[in-house]
Amino acid sequence: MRRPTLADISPAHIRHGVKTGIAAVLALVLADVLHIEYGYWAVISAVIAMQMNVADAIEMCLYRFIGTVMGAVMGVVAIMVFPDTPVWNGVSVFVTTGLCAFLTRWDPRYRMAAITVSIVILASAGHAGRIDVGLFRVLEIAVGVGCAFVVTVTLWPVRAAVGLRRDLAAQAENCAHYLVTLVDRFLARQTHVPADLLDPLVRATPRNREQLSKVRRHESLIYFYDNQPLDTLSTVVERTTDHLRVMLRSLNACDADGYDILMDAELRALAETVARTLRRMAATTTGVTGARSGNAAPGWLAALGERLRRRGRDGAAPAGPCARPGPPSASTLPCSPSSTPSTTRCANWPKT
Amino acid sequence: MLTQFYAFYYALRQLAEDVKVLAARMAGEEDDHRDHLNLGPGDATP
Repeated sequence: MRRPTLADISPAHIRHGVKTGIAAVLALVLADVLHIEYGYWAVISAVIAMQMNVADAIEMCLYRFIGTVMGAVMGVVAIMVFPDTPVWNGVSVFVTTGLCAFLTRWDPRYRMAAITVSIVILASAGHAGRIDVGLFRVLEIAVGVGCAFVVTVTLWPVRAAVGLRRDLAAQAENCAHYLVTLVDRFLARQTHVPADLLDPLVRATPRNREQLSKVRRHESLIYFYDNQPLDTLSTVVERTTDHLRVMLRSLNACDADGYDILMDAELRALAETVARTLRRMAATTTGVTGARSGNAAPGWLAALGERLRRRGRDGAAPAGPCARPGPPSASTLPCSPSSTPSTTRCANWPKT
Repeated sequence: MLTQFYAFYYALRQLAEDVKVLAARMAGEEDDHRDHLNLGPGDATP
């Protein structure tokens, strides 16, 4: 494993450290002001709830707070049901934590509830006013979570939507680059490309979906987002990656050093138009919210439509059978070797 | 061999169609000819 160096330290991580420290101190001060006996629970909650971006922080705050409330309620019920003896306390811990573990099948927040219910039952054992312990647990957690939330949102907030937009734009650029590369290689007598060429894009797809889901479910609670541009750009990258994979597999399955393609210019122009459209889409999704640019009918979109219409009108006869065989050594396909450029069609082309 | 040529071409063609539909959606236009649910999968087999 590589040793970390100073170059690995990013300003974002330094800011995150400072924010976490501030949230912890704020929770401690607030717990002191509210005369909460076990104020360190508030500090622990604040540290746990602090995350790098707003979406993750909100998710963690909700997870921790709701899980704690559920655990506190179960703990109070257990305190009322079971007598305060070592044996019965053991039984109540067994029943409640077992139930919480079982319920995590449907809701992961019961994992947090199991921790809380154990603390409520065991920390209050042998004390008068056991139920108050449960209620104070909720208050401590609420203080910690509240401090973490306030600091995350107000101090150098890092929005997941911004990072996602940046990633998607870069991926759309990469899609455009790979598209042009694949078509170039296809037209260069089907020169093969590395089979793992598209792996970074393939790996990014589930990550994009996860981030988009977090932005929708959590960040949208406190920021106004028009999620459609991000959603669309994510779909563009996903769809394009799917098609590029088919193109890559088809290209690598061709015999290398194969054929010159008669429709070279048309295919290249189509690929470049699509690549240009991808780049424009990446550039058009602007601002932190990914808001649309507002151009009703961009010229680049019309250009792509026109290019597609032209391809359709030409009979959509593509490269393969109308390929001009390469050097004499190359195998020949069932079309006329003497075909002249792109207007020539093979009889067996399907009409699209 | 022919199948690979076809597959490559149709994948390119399908990609162009999908990008056109999604670009229209992003620009706030709706394409009457294609619903987003009908966007073709990666399978470009003719």
